Amino acid sequence: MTARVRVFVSRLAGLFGRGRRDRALAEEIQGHLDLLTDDYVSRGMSREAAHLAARRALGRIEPVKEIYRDQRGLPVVDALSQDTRFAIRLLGRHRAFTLAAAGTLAIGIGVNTTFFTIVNAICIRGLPIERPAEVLVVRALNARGLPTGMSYLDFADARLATTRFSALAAYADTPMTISDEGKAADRVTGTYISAGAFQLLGRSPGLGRDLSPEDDRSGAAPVALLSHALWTSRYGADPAIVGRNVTINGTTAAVIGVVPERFRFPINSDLWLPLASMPALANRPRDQRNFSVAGRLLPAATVEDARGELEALGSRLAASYPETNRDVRLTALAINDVFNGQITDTVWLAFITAGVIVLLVSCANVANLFLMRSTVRTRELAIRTSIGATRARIVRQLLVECTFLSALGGGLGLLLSVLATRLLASSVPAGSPLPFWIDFALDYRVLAVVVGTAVAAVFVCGLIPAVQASDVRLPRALRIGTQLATPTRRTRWLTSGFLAVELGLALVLATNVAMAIKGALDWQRQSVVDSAPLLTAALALPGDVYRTSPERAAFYTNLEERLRGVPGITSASIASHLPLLGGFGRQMTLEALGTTPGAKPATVDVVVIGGRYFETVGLSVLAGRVFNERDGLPGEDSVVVNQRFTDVHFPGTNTIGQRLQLAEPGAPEPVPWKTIVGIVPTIREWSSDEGDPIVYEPARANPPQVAALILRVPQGEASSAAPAVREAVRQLDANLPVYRVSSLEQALRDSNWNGRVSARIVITISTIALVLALVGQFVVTAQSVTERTQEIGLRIAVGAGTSRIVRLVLRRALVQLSVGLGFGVFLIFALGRLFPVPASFEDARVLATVIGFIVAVAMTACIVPALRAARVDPVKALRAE
Amino acid sequence: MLPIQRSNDVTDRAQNTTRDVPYGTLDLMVLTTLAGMGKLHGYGVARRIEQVAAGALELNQGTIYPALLRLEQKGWIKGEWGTSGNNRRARFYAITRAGRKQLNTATDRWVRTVGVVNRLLDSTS
Repeated sequence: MTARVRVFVSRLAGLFGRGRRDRALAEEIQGHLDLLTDDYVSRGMSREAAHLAARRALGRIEPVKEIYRDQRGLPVVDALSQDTRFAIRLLGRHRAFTLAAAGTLAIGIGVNTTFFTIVNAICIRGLPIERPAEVLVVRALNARGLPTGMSYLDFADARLATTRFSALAAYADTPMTISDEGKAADRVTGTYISAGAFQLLGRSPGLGRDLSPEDDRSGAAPVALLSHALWTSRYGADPAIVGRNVTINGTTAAVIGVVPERFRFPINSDLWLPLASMPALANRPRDQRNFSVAGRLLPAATVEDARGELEALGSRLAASYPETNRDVRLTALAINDVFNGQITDTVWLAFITAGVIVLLVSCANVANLFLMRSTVRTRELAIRTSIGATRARIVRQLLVECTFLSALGGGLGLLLSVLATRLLASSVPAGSPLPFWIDFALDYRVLAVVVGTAVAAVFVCGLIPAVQASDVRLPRALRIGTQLATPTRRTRWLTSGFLAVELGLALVLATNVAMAIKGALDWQRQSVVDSAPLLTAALALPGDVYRTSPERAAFYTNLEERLRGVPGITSASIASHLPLLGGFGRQMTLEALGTTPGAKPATVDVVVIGGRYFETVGLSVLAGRVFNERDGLPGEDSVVVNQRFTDVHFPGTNTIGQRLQLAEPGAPEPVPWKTIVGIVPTIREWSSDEGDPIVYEPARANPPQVAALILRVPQGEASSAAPAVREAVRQLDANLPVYRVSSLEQALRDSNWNGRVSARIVITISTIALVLALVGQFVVTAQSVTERTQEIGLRIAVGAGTSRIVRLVLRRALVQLSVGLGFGVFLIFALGRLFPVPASFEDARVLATVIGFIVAVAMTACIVPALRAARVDPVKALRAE
Repeated sequence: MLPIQRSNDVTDRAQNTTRDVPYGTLDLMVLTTLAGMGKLHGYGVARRIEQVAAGALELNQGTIYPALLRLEQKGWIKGEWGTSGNNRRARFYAITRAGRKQLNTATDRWVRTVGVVNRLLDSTS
């Protein structure tokens, strides 16, 4: 065995210093000859005869040297390096071809890599924690089998009972206010978290210390951990922060440490407080399941063990606390399965498919470039074949060429994708950052995919042309006088085939984009809110200051009063959600329908609004009335619904006066019946053509903790209004931060950046695919004109006119185009699950428009080579023969 | 047939005669020679083998070099440049410790094989 390794190593070494080794061998053999000659001479031969005899005795030297050489190195590598040198020379000589092919591949690989980088960041890489496979998220499943969080009491029981987890930690995100003497308060995302959670995840504070079990006891001195980001932005990265006191939600707490950069578990936290310091923690009912729980398995335990244990604990809890835990089960999932996006989601599949489509289109283009060039190279390959190159050897040589192109394309593609992901990362607005663990960085997986796609590209775009080109028919290929080689029928078929595939794939993407654009245009037409004069801000009332609904309601009423008096503000209102940005999901029971036991209750979005919401936003009532001063007071339970709600739930009947119940999911307490008093127009959403049914509730009845402030400001006064709003809030409560002050347009853009960026990505890559396919069509047509110069010359010579020749060229292009587009239409329906299928007459019109557009552009492009064909000089063309 | 295992074997198989070096035995011969004679150059090895064979073998002397390379690659012999008796530069080969071990194993195997073949020949003739 060692001998074999030694042989391999020495053979590997033999690949280098070839010249030196050859000389050494020659010298050794020469020495042998000399010695042999001397020997013969000493036995009495003449020098001449001795020399000949020595040569005879030694046998044929060159073959021996050849064997020696083969044995010294690795013959495969030798041949490959020969092919490599040849390929580099050739690619260097045909720079235009090299650039076109490598550039096309770079686009395909670049798009694909960019997409994979995104998918990798969101769906594959997961949290930056120690041995993530051992970390599980413990969840409760409600009676319907839907996952929910854990209640504090269930968590406490699980922590006591577990024998499978080395530690369990609970955490809950909540908005927090951090303030210091002489500095404006900041609104941040804070997390109440069990001591030991960071240790469990394998991260410890970079500065200061972790939360200790002593910190996580009720009555302990309040402490806090800061995120690196908050430490930098608010405290200038001052290391003396550790030990200093800050005010969090009105309570003084000592900063004990700073969590390392880019670790903001669970989503984007800036502040961590011990779980025990959460207000009224121990009094939380067992069915208030709003804690997340993570645990690390003991080394000996498996996920199944943990699930079994939790299942048993769940049953025990259900038996002990039937009123809260009946039908509630406990289970666990790998933490990355919870945090990662599911790659099997249609969105991601569509995303990946789009990337692969662009890659395939570019590969098809390059394959066609190769096919065309192979026609030109027929003679070179014929000569190689006639001097003894085997077909395998020629295929290998062509594949090596393709490998180089592919490597070049892969390198450029990687560069492109780095630029593209940077662009993407910079388009994420600062106000709504991505979860901390999503980082569009290169890692070994991305590199593996680049290498993988580059290698696949070699075979996808190189193998068929190589096999085709290596099929050299010697007599035909070497026929003397054939200056312009013509492609074989099979080459032509293959070219058209590749073209059809890329046109079809491009059509799929283009149609998808066209339908999305049409949707966007429809949305713009139908949007009923003019967002231009609307300014928004956000504020959150700390739970420990504004404890009750009446307190919060009073604050909002005061604020709205005060803002009404501010010059430059026409109208102001609070709302739980900005227009177009959804609402609280509530389970709804309609009195008119009655309740069917066991039926899944309908859900509806509920937006809680201030008194002048409709006036501020600019919605005029369609029927009934808007809220008055009394709505929302006890006994005055009224709601307003939008037109879409009426269309869905009360088509053709009178909506006004109908009654409904709205319940928080999982909340068991009985809720009052509310009467519909008015109907307002639907504000349409980007995502759905129809808009969602919405129920508006008066803030007085249910004042939210976190609210958006909407202000109608005359054009040009937005800049002066912002400070006025801050001042008005400060006068009411100096400790209350106002944040995210922006125009409604900006707020919508920021909150919808994801959709916007995705749309831009899809449009960009579809355009790329389409352009690639059209260029492919153009190149193939131009090439066919070049190949058919003699034939066309002959036709002109026997009397064919310009229009006839143009038609001849265009007809072939049109046939190729039709086959490709037909294939595309087939694909659109075959891929229906991923991309929207044209379902209506309208959609069919969009599809027809796209097809018409492609045909028009392609035909226009092909006119150029067609006219060139018509101008062929028959004398020259025929003389070329 | 020459003891060369490559597919692009250049020997003319039609010339295979009874005096050719039996397949796979050249390595063993080279090792034995070096074990018995100490340091030798390629020519010395070839001549020694021819002397011992005394005409029973027709050694194509050139083939000694691929064999030497093979053995050197396996670490069984070691070559270094030196000066021959009549002041010519030559590469001298010596057997290594691993080479001696290999020689022992190969010799054992050879003796056993020959014994078996002999017994078979005896029993059938």
